[in-house]
Amino acid sequence: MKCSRCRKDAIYFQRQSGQYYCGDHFNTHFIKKFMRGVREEQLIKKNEKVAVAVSGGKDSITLAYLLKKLQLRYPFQMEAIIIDEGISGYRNLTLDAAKAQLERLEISYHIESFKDNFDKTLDIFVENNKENACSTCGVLRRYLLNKKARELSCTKLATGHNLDDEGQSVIMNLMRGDIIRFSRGQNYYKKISDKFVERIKPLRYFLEKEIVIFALNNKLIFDSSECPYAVYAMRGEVGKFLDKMEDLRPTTKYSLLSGYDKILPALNKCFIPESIGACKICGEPTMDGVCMGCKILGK
Amino acid sequence: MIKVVFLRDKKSLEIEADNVSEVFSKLSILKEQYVAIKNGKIVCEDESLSKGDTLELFTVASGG
Repeated sequence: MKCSRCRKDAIYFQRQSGQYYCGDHFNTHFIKKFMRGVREEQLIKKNEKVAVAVSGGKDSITLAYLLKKLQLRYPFQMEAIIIDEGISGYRNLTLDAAKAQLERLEISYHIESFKDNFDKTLDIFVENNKENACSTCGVLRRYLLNKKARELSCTKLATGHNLDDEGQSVIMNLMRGDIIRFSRGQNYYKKISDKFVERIKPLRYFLEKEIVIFALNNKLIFDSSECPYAVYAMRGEVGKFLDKMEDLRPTTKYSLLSGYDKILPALNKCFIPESIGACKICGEPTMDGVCMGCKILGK
Repeated sequence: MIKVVFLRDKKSLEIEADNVSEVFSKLSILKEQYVAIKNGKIVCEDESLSKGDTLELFTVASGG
């Protein structure tokens, strides 16, 4: 098939718009959408210092690449944070990719490991409880990202969450009946505590497949392996369900997230308290007496 | 016959198909989950295929 704009060979058919894109026009479309999103949502202010969380996968590598492009047009500082959870046979591959692409982009980076910060790798944390790997990893990773971003005096923490990730989270929180998490949105803690660096997700309206095509089309260095603990997560099954729905009814993923974004302010009002307590051990904000991080670390 | 290669699993097979969509439907896989690469170039799902083509399938989901 040919590109709807220039008649070169198409690499992507966007079902929601009915447009075919060649490599060049796909890039133009993708970059424009990214720049427009950052501008319209006012995600990054002039001269702000942004931390970008980079795992070495296609999402965070694409995000770092696009933020570097944005820096050419708009003045802001950027540093990357890489978390080494200690997952044997997996994290070493993604770490190598992250370092190689960040060096190519001339973005300085900091590596924080579970081993150095918590005395244990994720593999050791969950050796008798692999089913909990994703929640343990998520809590400790977010803790380290926030801590390092704060140490670096960053006022934003950018992550590479895509449309598929966001839609999956909406469904998962609802399926678990976790109405608090479903209702609070990404910057709830920021609103109640200065200890939290504001999170931004500039790729949250980009389909995962489009990000893969962009990364391949631009020959970005990224690792495409799957975490060995992913098999224990609910996310994979929910992802397959959403893929099936998207296949049957194109734009399902967009509609899900944009619908959620519309009702979020009302959910916030109904279900989220205006203030919460502090963790008895570390002082970080928490709904319970002891925060999840301290519970995992056995404090 | 078309050679189909699943890049992540490093598995390959041969199949009769006139286009990429037909490969997806014959293998019961969803187009949301793979990027199709024909003879080294990324292609759309309605790209036609001919005898001797190699179609690599790049798995979209990765990470955790």
